[in-house]
Amino acid sequence: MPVAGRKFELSLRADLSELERMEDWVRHVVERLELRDEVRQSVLLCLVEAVTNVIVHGGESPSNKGIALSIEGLKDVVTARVTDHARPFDPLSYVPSPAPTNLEQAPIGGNGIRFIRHFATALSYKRRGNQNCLTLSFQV
Amino acid sequence: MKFTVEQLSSEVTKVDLDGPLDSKGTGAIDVQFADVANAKKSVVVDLSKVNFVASIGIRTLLIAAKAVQMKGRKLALLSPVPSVENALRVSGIADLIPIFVSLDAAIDAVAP
Repeated sequence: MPVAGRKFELSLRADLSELERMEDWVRHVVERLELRDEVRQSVLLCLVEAVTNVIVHGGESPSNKGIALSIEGLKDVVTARVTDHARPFDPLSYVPSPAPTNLEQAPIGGNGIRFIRHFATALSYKRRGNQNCLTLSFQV
Repeated sequence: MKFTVEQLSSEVTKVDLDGPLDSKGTGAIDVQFADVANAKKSVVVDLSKVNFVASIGIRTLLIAAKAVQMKGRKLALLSPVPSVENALRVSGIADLIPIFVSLDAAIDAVAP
């Protein structure tokens, strides 16, 4: 039975060098929440992809400074939130390119949003002031 | 991430990956993987000890497969664990790079 009623938070710089620290933190949190393996993998994968997208595609404006993460264990669900100051981006309205039909023409990349949509149970996005707020839920 | 290379024959190389294909894992193997992929041999990548793959790991596998194909050879994936295989299928890479559960079948598929 997962642990409910606990919330964990982390602040990151919008820099790829922060990914490793974030991955270690997510692994620690999902272990503390005693989630089953499948949910652990989904939480880790979706947060890696969401944060990578912010860093890589969020633009190099001075405002793209920091990313706030939280993971909260509730009774039947784990909720993860990603809040950033990057340019507006709604992953729910983004249309991924069609799956490639041959190796030669397959694009390198483009799987982040596909993974988030597939592995999160529910998603919501809001633009609040100059912040993107992405909430991902995972059935436990 | 551990990266082990085994020459199965003069034509086929086997790569064993051990660890997560996340940002740290892929960063540790990208150069070695590029060397193998550009060696004009077919490649079997054993994923049985890879417990996690993110899109950056998919990218590494795709770049290697493209490089091997450009040399006129083939790359196949071997025995991914269910969660990794699921990610490979969601990404679409499973439709582009063959996946086998048997090493013999993988070798037969990639050998010239």
